[in-house]
Amino acid sequence: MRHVRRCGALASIAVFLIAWEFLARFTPLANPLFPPPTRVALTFTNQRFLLTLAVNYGYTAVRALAGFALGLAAGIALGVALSAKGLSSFVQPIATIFFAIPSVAWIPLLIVWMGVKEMALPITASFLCSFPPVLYGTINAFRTADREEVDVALVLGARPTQVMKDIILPQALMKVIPVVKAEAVMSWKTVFVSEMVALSSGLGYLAMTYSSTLEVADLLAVISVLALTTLALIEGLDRVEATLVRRWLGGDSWSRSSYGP
Amino acid sequence: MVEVQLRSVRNFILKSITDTFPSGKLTVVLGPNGAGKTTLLRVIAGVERYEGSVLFDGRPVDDVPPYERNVSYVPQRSSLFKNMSVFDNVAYGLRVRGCGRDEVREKVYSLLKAFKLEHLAGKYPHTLSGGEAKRVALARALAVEPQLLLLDEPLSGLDAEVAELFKQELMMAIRSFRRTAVLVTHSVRTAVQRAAHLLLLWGGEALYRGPPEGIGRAELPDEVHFWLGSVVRVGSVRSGVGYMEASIDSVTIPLLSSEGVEGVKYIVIPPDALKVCREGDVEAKVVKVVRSGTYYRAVVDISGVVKLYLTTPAPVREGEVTRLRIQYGVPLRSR
Repeated sequence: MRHVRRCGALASIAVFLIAWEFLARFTPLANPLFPPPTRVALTFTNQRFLLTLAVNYGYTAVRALAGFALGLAAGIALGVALSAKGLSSFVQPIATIFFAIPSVAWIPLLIVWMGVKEMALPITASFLCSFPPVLYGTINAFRTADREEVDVALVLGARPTQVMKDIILPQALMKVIPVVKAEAVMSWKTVFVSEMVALSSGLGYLAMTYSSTLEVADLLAVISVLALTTLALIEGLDRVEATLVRRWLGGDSWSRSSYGP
Repeated sequence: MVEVQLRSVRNFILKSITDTFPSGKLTVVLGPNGAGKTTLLRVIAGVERYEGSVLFDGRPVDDVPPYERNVSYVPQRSSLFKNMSVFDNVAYGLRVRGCGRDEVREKVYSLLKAFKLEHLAGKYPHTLSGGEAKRVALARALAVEPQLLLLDEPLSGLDAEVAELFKQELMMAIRSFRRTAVLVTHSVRTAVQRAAHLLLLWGGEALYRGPPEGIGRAELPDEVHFWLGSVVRVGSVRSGVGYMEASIDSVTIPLLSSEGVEGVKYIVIPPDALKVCREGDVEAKVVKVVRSGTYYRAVVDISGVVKLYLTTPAPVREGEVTRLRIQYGVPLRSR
């Protein structure tokens, strides 16, 4: 079944590329500003382009991952701390408001406040992209923890810290993972936009450069690298989620790791 | 012995309640939905704030947190820990109380064996059937050997056949538990057949507390009888191979009981055990009728001796004589 699904996905990509190739070569749409995919693929054989792409990819990756990691760590830590202390209701309205603001909306403000800092600006933008949703998601996950399971654990003799560790945290984590998945992708997009509008390095900057010089095949190559990165990220996080779900909600590794059979 | 002296529970229906649950016996808290039964259990478990006092063996436990009360609580939904296997669910209470690895393993496997759950040890809650989940929840509660076992509607959500089987297992477990147990139910049959002590809750108040057979002497409003059923003093009871029956005046009523019926003075006839029908073998005079939605609640009188409460979709009018079939009664006995 999984094999069939994978074949279906590959087939849909193949159909898309063939249609694109056809439109860009044999229809009135064909012109230098609409290169076919084979022309875009050829750009990856250019050593100089590859080197430029690799350097700028590195910048974008470091910025997106650093901002996302900081936002993730701060969001989960603060969410857990506030929920444990019963203070989440004070913070939740603010987290909700920040959650509702599109992350790219912060970029103009950050430029005014911070200036055009090559690393600090996109990392802060990426942090502001991931922190509020992760905080919001963590608080919400704790708020919706199964009250009755918590009560049963307490009555069985578990102290509040044990209940937190054994019951609330694993269940909250399961609810936070979808938020984390969405924000991991979003942080790349935010960094890309900040590079487009303000910076002089990174994939966003590269895209803007190729746009201004009408090197559309190179521009499409940059966009396809971003798309493939996002795809790989989603696939990787899906696997992490699947492993955790198997471990906590129905697999056998949990029981083997403990006293079980 | 557990004593409850409640004044109120914030945001809940439960009002002033005072009762003492006898040590080493089964107390059944009976009442319709919303009577405050679950809240009372949660108060005793220490997971609900309340005004008043709860005493275990004469010692107030109001300031004792739930994790130090040494009780076990089986909630209505079972509430197994979703992120743990069956084995880990049953083992959880032992582990948090600091039991050693071998002791945990030994105790958990003996309980899993007793409840025929060994083959499910590595399974997770979402793969279990309703009956299996209930058995795991019961095993988890018994594993810590609590001084008090609290069971909230343990038979709810099970189909009739599974419920009957689980009821037998549950009663065996309670008997071998030999400590105080409190069972909440809205099943009159379960309550009067199994309880050593009965607490009847209605609208957050205790209408009756005492041995089941004592409810026959209690003055209860008609409204309660329409839910609970008719409590009737019987003239004589007989039992033989495959039958048990009671006689009231000239009427014979089959009895539902898994035990002997010697010494039974009162029986309960639940409202659903009375049928108004032309072929009924009992003639009764309708003395009071209350319309309740599409149903009629009626008080009928048999020979001026027995008053019965019934609910029927068939229209009945005050003063008319109708025919009834009494399908069964449940004996009230002391334990």
